[in-house]
Amino acid sequence: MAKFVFAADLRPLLERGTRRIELDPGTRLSPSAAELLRDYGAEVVFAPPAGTKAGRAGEPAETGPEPEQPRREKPEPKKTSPAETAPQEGGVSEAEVEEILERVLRRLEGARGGAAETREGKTARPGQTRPGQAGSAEDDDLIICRCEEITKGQIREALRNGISTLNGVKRVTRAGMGLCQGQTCQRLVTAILAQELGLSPQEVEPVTARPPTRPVPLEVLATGSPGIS
Amino acid sequence: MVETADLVIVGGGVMGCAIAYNLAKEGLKPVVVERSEIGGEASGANGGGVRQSARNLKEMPLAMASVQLYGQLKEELGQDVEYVRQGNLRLCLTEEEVAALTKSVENQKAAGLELEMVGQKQVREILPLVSEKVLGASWCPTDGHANPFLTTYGFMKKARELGARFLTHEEVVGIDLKRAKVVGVTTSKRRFSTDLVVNAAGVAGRRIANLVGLDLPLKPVFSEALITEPVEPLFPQMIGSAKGAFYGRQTPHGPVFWGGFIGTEDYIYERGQGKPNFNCIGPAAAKGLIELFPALAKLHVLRTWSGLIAAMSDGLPVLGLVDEVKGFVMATGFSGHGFGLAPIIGKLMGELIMDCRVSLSLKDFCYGRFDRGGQGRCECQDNATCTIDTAACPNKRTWLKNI
Repeated sequence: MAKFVFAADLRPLLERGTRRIELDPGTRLSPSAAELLRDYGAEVVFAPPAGTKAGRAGEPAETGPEPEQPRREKPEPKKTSPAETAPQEGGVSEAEVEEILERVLRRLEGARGGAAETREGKTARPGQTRPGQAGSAEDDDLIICRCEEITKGQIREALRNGISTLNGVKRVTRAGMGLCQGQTCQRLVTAILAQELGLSPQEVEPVTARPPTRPVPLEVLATGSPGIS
Repeated sequence: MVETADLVIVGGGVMGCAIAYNLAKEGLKPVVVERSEIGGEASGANGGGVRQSARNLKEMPLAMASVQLYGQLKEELGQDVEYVRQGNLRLCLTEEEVAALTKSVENQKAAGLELEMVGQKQVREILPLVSEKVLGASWCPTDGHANPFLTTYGFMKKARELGARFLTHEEVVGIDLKRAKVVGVTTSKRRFSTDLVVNAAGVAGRRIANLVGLDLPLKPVFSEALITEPVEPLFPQMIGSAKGAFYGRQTPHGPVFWGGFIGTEDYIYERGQGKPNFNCIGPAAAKGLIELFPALAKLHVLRTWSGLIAAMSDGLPVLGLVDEVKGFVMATGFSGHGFGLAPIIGKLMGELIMDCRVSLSLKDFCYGRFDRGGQGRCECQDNATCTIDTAACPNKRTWLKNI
């Protein structure tokens, strides 16, 4: 199974000034992650297998720690192929890359485990949805809406800023606006809203359903069949 | 128990929130009463156009000032409202449309707008995706679009920070008058003692005006929209059709928004009665979109929805104080132009309520224009009534100093 790297995983690194992200071959970037990398002008390198990496570790010349580039400075927009980027020209040391990778993978594991836990929250951890319970900030980076990559923290922030309905959360955070139209995250968002506002989930008004139930091509919607004459 | 409020704003859409923000900034503590949720009606359903071209000439100065304010919103509110200023193309499909639009473009240029007519070739240069059937367009490079949800949210968030109060799921059921002067507001949950009420209720604006014995030639008009799956950046411009039947944009996240009218609005929704035919929304909007952008026919539609426009008989909003009831301020009936105007309306209403002076004239929008069967010419200077009858002036700045 391909591993995914999400925007939330990369943001802390990019904000610290890292401009070169090394990933395992075969790792896939989510659209938002790719967008974020473009915004920061960072490059992604798909690391060759561990053996070759060890060989390169002997060249410490340009691996100075944190060269503190200006944040928004964009390098020339050439596409980086693995061959081009093999020599270390970015500002990340070998050790740092290892650490980044490890943290990205750990976060991925964590996110998967966390989401599953929340889904079973009712039985496994009843405390999670108890009305009025103060939410912990620890799981703020948990991705709730997978389509739009919206975290629990973003949803909580909207609720604290005066949003009090599922429709409102959807408009402000985009949670539930993606391809699945909230079919995956709606229960989770409902639980978060109920918890933050001290309601029982039954009291939360459902989000307004919008047709079509599944994505339909424009031409089909317009004419009832694919292919425009 | 009766609570006291500096003023009550009826309606928590983008207008109510923008007005609340501008007043909270000055030190007042506005109370916003919203019957559903913040941005739950038109502010949560519109197309996000921030447009000057093809506006009524009377509205042009407001639209032009609003575009300037949109440029500063992100900084001012601390909220990215996804404002994109990349121009507006109003597309013509027939020679008649080209002729009519060419004439209208001349009038708009005379009003000071940077606008030009472009031919078939130039349109396709600006917007390569557009159908060959498009014969020409008006091109206004300073138009654009923004995210209506985030704009409303941004105004609300900032207003709250500055001390405004937002009451949702609460309906204004009565406005108490004493000698034709506002003295209080009754909601479905409580009562307020206040001397100033702002009617920013959008489609409910007529009902709110009715509460103080006034009426407005305002009716809800049904409008529809769809949005597609996200795709790579295709076009940054705001798009309209010459007849005003369709409008669209691509949001920064990638989905293509497309809104418009299906043609039967007048018959299916009158004063909140009747049910629109939801089956028509998708097909009608999809046909309109494919006609202008055949290349997008394979895009998947994720959602379709509808909203209500507070349409005035003359297509212009009602703004400012009214002669008949002291302490009652109108800011409703935006006839589908409200989102683009919100920042400037918020600012002007702020000025009016604080100082009884406005930096742009509201004369053409005053309630007095409906006197004598709509043929009346308002005699107030610049802004409604205030200058005629100074006792009607809220002048909240002086009031603030004295408390």
